[in-house]
Amino acid sequence: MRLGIVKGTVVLSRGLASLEGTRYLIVEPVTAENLKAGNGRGGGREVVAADHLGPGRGQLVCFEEGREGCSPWLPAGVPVDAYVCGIIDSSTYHPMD
Amino acid sequence: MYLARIEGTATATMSHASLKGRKLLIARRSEPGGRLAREPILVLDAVGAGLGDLVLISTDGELCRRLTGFKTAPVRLTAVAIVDHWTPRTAGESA
Repeated sequence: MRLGIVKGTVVLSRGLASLEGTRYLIVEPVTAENLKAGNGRGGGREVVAADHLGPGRGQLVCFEEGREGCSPWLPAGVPVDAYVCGIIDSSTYHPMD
Repeated sequence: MYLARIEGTATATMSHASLKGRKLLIARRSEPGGRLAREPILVLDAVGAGLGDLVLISTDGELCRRLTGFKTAPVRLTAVAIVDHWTPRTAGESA
């Protein structure tokens, strides 16, 4: 997983039927520098991630990418490769550089 | 697999059922020249790794499914070993 800041939501007009019923969030990955500073900034390249948890804008979440992104739908198949796994409620971080 | 340095911990109460209450490790992948990656990653822990440890990260999603007991666990990274030491390969050295 990576850590990311929720930046917004995406609303689909037409798409594959399997994508319906899910929220899609714009998530900006957080760099070590910004995580340490706790400044609410991301700094990475935005991704769109499927979401079932409903975090608000600015919240810190963790998201998984790749094949496991669609695991929550198993055994059904959906073309999702990024999924919001959790809303981070506590963390400690001590970068080693 | 790749090497990463453990730099912290995180928990997510509101999460996929497979991660509820689970302590996650914040780590950064080791890059050439001894640097650490710009962005941290969040991994499961199979070996009791602690702050400052250099660990071996596996991207085997099947291991995550077994560790969490959820076939639907949407995760794929686990710290599977703590590294004792490593040496750089010299140029031209054969495997």
